[in-house]
Amino acid sequence: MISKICAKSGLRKEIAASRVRLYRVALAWCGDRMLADDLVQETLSLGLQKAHQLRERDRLNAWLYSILSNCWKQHLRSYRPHEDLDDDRPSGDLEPDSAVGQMEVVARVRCAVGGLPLEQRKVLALVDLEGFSYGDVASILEIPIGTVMSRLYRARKSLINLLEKDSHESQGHATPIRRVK
Amino acid sequence: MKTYDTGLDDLTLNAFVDGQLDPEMERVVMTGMQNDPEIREHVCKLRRAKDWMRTGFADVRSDDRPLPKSKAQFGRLGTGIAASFMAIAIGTGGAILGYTCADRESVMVAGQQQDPMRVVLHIDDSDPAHFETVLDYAEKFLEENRSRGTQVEVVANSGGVNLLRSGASPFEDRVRNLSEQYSNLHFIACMNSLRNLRRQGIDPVMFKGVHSGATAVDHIVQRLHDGWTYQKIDNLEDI
Repeated sequence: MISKICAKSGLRKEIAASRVRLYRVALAWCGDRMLADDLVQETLSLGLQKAHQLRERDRLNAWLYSILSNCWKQHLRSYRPHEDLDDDRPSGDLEPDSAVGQMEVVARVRCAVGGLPLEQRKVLALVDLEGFSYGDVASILEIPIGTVMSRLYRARKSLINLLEKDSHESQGHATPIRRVK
Repeated sequence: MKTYDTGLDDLTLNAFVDGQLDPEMERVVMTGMQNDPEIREHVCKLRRAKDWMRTGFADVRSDDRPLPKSKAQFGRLGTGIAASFMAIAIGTGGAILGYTCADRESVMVAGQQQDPMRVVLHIDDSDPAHFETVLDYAEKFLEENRSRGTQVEVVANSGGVNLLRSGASPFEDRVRNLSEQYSNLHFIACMNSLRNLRRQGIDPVMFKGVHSGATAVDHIVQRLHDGWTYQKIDNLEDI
């Protein structure tokens, strides 16, 4: 009995300790701090409610991100019924207006990430911010590993195009010299 | 999607930078990097994209709301999705700007035997927990292999150099103690990353004994050429 209580208490602490990491990914997905905060709160709430359903303790992290993904989907269904979840449109050429210095760097990255199609954003954040394996991401988002890989490929390609363009412009570089093999 | 002359494609290169390939396939990619500058450059770009993501969301803080006791309502979700890209001040912009890898002509030696007693540990982000993992690993490895001719180098680039900077790193005492304790442990800061900091107006003062003078890429490639074993922080966490 005591060990069960301790385990439950430990699990609760682990779930609570996941807040910042969940928030970072939620922010990368939705781009809105208030919304990200609410999504994480909802995720933690559901996580605590359903903790008894978690069979493998070492899957806690991936399990929480599955809940977060479902909360996000639910929100999109409620508030953005016209959003195409598999939208593969090319990302827009977005630029923040007034960011400076290091804040500019962060703003550029977030702006570029925000311009990516939603499903690419989700995969990118899970792999790059949380370091999940492709298999874990496939499990969390309930998509095939091949889809994880192709979305990641497209996301990074867009990100590189956008941010390298910004980088060159900010340094006043001319068109880079192409290497000839 | 591009397929290179070696048969490698972009999906495989992405999997390589994410540490998702098995050792045999990793070797194939490294050989491809040796033989094809275009592959080498693309891998470099993909790593840079990972750095961008980490930097862009490195210093995110959430409100310290109490842990819900029961199922909470979506209190503020009704506000919808406002496209907010408000930047939060962060510690470092790392090597976002002016990061170049097009001029790498160094080679890796295909089929080079790796010496498990000579290890180069690579860290490229400013997460203190990652650096602590590197230091723990280095210390344990050196302690367990005291009389086996071990050599360990910790190579830091991008945000990782901040962990070797006076006034920016919480590990100064530990790095100094380890350096004094083990003469076969060395810390190397990437020359390009230091130059990028200077471009941002930061004069990086490194811990005593930290070496610089080459880029991280060049140094690591040279070590691979010399037969050293390469370990990246991502892999250490699984050990």
